[in-house]
Amino acid sequence: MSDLERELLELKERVSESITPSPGMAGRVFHRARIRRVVTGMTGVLVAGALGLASIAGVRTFVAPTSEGPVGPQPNIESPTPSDLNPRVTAAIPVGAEPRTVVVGEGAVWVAVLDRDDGMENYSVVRIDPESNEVAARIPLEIGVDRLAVGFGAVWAGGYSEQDGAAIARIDPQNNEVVATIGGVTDPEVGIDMSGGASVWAIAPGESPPDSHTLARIDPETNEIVSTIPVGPITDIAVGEGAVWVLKAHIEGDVVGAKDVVKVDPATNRVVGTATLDAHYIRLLAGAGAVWAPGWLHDFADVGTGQGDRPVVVRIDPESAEISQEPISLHTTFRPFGVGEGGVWIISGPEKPSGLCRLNQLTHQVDECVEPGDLAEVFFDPAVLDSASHTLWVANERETVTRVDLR
Amino acid sequence: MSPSRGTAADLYQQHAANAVQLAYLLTGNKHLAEDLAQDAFVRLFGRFQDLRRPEAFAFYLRRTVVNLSRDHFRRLQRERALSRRQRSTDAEDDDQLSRIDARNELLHALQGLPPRQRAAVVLRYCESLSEHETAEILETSVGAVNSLVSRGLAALRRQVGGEDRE
Repeated sequence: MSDLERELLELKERVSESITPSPGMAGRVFHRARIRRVVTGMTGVLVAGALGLASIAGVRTFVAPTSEGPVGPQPNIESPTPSDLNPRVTAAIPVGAEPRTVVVGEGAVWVAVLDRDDGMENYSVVRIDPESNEVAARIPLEIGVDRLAVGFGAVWAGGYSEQDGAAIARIDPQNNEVVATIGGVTDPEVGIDMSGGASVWAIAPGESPPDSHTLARIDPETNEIVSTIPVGPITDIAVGEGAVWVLKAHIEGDVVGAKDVVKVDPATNRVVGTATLDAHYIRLLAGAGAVWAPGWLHDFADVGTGQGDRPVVVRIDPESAEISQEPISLHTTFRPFGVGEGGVWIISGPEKPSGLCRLNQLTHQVDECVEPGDLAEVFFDPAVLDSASHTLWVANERETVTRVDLR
Repeated sequence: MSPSRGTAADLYQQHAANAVQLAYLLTGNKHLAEDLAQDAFVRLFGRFQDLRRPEAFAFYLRRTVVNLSRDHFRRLQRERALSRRQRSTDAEDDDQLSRIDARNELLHALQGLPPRQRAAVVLRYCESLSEHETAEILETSVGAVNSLVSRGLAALRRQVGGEDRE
């Protein structure tokens, strides 16, 4: 054993003497584990229950998990109408690396993957042929891809590179090659604005301080940034319901506080409305007549520990850009990833999300759930809905992309 | 099989300290280590019935802590890029690390390794696991573990400056 190896062993011994779990950790673990077990046993209905939306006649009644569980609206929830869907896993496609985010378009399924090779991290986009359910191409990238978008005859891969910072790579699906790289922007969202124009929207992180972040508009014809709209520190973008929506953080000192949902009119590139959210919101989705902002509301002093973190969702009226009602408590995570096939599709699960569920837009209840196995890191949007082919595509933890046929 | 409260409490009692210490060696941050260990327990208790070898709880716990640590740093990397202000927080983290173990040059050096190298070195030499056990946790080959460890040790020697540590 070398001196260094001996020192590493001694390091562990010193850590063992000085680092021990705090007295409250056991309580937090069992509190969260109990909620998780209860929620896991109450398929999907919980989400609809928590949403507090209109219910219809039926036979099943929602019961709150425990008196110590999350609080909030506890409506009488009954069973949904018979569903028109028959979701089932129809293929598991090995992609040879960790899949992170997945999108559909241009006749293919596109998956950003991370290949860890002895400590080196290599990123690429894998093209899957939905006809054969096989990998058709692998496109290496210089940037670590966090987000994908498809539109205007291209695949847009946004992320960061060690050398160049934020960047979006444009991939041509005709030859599966990177044909342009746009520097200074990331997190692409594709959208067509009300005036008929077409744009890729992205975050331009800018320089310090983060207040200098801007919403960037990219012309897909020229791959150039044609306008930038000062908004502030942006954490997410959604395009839909007639506007571009930005989730903006308030940063005081080094603390991220409340967030705003900012409405930008794509016809004028101006901010036309703002809703202030008093909680930690993480995501935006526009569709099904609303803008959805899921997140966490902290009730108690021990923020971030799990105890006292209450999952909620806020609906924002797209016309007025105002919150439709108070934050609605949930009993599970609510991470929307698509609109179509009769509802809003969400990733659902208390701790390790694994279920994909439909919130039926007519009955306002969760009426379909499918479990395609452990999802890849939820932060990177591992699921996508393709209404045209009636399929869901899911990036799994274990180097696999799963196909779910809905009909 | 689903753990009863008694079983789960026993497992917690038996493994909590180890989980927090492993997370600390991987992150260098006491509060983060406890958060990660807590997450690992909650996930494993929730998935207990899915574990192929429930008797191998320690193995699954180690793997979960390693994976959660990796995910944490991946998220952090992205958030840092979005908010340059994070740099001042990083500095605070460093200060905190200094306060926790000011004399421990080696702990600092460990945090400078790429996550996978760091995990391999910690599992092999701090946790005293075999090459095979380390490979199982990192879900890679024994050869890859040896390569990671070799490069990790070389980098540590460079950082802590010790030919005498050969």
